[in-house]
Amino acid sequence: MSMHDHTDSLDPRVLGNRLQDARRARSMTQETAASELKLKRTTLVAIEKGERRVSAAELIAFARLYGCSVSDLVGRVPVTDPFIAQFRTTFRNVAASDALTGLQQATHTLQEYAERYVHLEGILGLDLARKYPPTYDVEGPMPDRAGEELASAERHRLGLGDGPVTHLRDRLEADVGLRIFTFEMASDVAGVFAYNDALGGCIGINSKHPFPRQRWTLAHEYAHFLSARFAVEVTWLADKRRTSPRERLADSFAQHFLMPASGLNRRFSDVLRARDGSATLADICSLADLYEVSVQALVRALESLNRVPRGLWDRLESEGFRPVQAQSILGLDAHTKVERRFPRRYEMLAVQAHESGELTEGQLAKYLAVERVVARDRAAEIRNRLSSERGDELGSLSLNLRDAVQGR
Amino acid sequence: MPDSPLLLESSTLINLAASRELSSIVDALGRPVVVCDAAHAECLLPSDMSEGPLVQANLDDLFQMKALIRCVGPSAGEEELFVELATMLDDAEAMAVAIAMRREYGLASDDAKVRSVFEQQVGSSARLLSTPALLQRWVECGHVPHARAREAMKRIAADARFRPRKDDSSCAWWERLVA
Repeated sequence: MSMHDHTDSLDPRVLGNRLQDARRARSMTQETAASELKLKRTTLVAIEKGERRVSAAELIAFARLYGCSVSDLVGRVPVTDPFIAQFRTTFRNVAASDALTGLQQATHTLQEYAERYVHLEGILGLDLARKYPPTYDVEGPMPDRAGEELASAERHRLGLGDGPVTHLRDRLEADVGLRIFTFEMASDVAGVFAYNDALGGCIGINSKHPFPRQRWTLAHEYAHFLSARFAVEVTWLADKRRTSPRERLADSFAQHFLMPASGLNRRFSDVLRARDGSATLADICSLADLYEVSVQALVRALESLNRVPRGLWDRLESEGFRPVQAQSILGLDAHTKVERRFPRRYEMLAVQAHESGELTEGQLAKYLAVERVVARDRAAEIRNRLSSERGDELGSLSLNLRDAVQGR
Repeated sequence: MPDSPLLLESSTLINLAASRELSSIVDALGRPVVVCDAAHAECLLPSDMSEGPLVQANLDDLFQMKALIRCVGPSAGEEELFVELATMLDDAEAMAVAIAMRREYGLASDDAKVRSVFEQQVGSSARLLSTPALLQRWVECGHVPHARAREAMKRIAADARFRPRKDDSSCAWWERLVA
């Protein structure tokens, strides 16, 4: 490869977009950035618009100021329409604060991960199959009802029956083709949904929240994907905005998708039958564990089905009931599960790209968001898994079905 | 003519630091050995035993004794090349390749892509070394007992989770000695 000006290999508009995105992820104004870099604001504006070339020294200074690496700015990862720009309306409604910074960082991270995922697919020629259903028409005056119907239709489409949904994330990745990442966000943000044509549907879930809460958020964001695919969405943990029709629909979907009424009714009836008509808190904790939802979500669902008195959850809460403590005492562990940051397939593609010499070890570590020695460990694990999946151990097993059937 | 300095890229530095024989290995090479700050920053190893938390390898004594030469980053004349290489490599890797190219240093790396980029740029693999190659030189030039070398290699495998690439010219030597 001959050496030439770095800007020859990168569209100045693309570089400008990346610089703007990196600045916004830091919640830094153009004035502040220009002043720190000893540039005129108009120069910085021109650079971000791709109208002025950036020298190598300037690029290094930009990377240092924005806390990113030079390779993040000039690397060959595909460039797609910035999610941050799509979130502008949302951001406008959030006062300049730590919350805004956190939200912008979460959006930036979601896009970064999704672009890397697409980059890996491009390197290896293995595109993610998109099995998107058509957008459901859910307009109407009764969002709660629409959410329930949407959940029922989608469970039917995915062949889920009316029981608890296990491996929700794996299903939505494999059976729908969504890109789902779990990473740290500001505590009051539950999740983020965004879409563009190049990346498809992308969901970010806050890893700080307990596993049942993460599942609820995932189902909630999935409702946004099904009902309003092209509208980006931030889900706040507890917010007045959640009373908006769209948010009510998504919450109703989450409830009925995770705990379909018919199955929950049946199971609750089974509990009552076994207990001579009255359920204990331990039974409710066990049901929540079975459905991998919070005890609060389960009680609320039972309230809405009129299986327990209305206001039960509020009463339990005011009396100091601690569901996590109760579940721990009962040895129930759904709330302690830890979700992976990246999809399994993403990790596998990253390791394959490294094995084939397309990704360096430093890039592998960055793609897996771990240190180098941990990346080496992870690569070895995945290599072993892959070799045992296609290895001789499984191939050499001979099954005698006749003996098995006859119980020998 | 004395050998040119050798620059240790992150993927090799981490192995040599894990061996706990870095000073002795550098000594046996008989040429200046350079480490970039960016590579040092990435040199994180288990603190005590293999399962301990990761901490940055302490190279301060080696820098003070001038056993290792510290390099802060690309100089003005290397910045353009560094940025160009950063389109293909991570920052620490791009920095190592840019500096080794411009200053005509040797480069020690165990990463296939880093080696391939360096070889393409320089047009030869003559200036390239790897962890197994460096350990082989250490053992042969430094007359190091095999038992001691084997211990170092075991630490590299346990703490740095390293195993040599099959196409490494010293891989067979490594496997024979460690067996």
